[in-house]
Amino acid sequence: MDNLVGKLIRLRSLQDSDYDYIATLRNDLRTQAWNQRLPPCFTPQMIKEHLEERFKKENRGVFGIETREGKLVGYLNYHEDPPRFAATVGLSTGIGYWGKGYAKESMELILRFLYEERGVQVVRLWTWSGNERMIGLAKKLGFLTSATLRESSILKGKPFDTLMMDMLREEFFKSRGLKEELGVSRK
Amino acid sequence: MRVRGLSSDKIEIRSIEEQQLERIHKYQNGELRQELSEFLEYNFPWAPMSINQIKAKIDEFLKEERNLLFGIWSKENEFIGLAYYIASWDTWSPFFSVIIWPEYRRKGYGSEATRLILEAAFNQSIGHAVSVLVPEWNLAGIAFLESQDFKRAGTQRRTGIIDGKFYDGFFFDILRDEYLSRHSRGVDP
Repeated sequence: MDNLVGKLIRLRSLQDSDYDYIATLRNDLRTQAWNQRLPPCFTPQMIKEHLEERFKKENRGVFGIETREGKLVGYLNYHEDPPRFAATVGLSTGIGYWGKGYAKESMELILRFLYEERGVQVVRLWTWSGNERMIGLAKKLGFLTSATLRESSILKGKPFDTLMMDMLREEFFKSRGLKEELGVSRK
Repeated sequence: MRVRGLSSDKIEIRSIEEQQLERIHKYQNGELRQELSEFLEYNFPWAPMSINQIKAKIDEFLKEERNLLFGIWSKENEFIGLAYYIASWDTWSPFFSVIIWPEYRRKGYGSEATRLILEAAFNQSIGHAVSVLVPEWNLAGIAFLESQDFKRAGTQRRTGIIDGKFYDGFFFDILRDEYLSRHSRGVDP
């Protein structure tokens, strides 16, 4: 792939002007994190410092999700651990942009980047058992639910399970009809 | 057996200090290279680490305020292993791990360290669900967790590479109610 640009959106670096919107995502209990409620009092500066500190390390990335018309609709991140072997991804988009295919295309772009350009063997994501949108999206993309940690999240006054979903390298290529050319086989 | 903080009639769990690094280094450079590398989240489990590398890894781990690292001592004051406790993501659902040096295994020390840590998680703090990730090749660890009433929670596919093959990790978890029920059954003294 030549860039992280799809039909609907592109992934790009975050800019100072993005943090007002990122802060609103962080401060909305429906969009802030995968299994944990955070106090909805983050300022744009706090988010900026947090993301810059966390993602300045190697083998990590954070991107703004921008429509082709130039509208920021969310952000996406990943980290590799170990590098070129396993990656964990996460994303958040504004509620007004749900159901438009932005999250799906964002994930597809980062998956292609991780599998094709970084060569990782497995991509993982974490969510909670009540997050049907994320679970549905992950399944559509080809993720399997590989682990269910019981009652390990608290949301809406109730315990929920935490799910770890993953997709192996060969599952990604096969499900998309792509040829896997690294030939790394250690089964 | 009455729990007194992180101490029982059998073991004591204390902080790790510089004096323990040499022993950890010896095992990481020897028969526990793979296990200790996993424990220290070192990306090159085939490679021997220097004392300074081990110290740097520990310091990095402890930068997170809610990551805890302990040494385990026998009542005879022998340094017999390590334990970590990770609540940095969520104090409600921490992870932990215990490693006992080979010559001290099969003496009940791992079981006792696990009991003390679960006691701290469930009865001295707000822990509700405690999880462990164990590599599939650690058969003794898997058998041990099952014997302690941990439930298999799933698989982390492709956790690492060993002997030319990918290996998976298995998640296990235990809930506070299950831990308390185990006590009420008299499984633990």
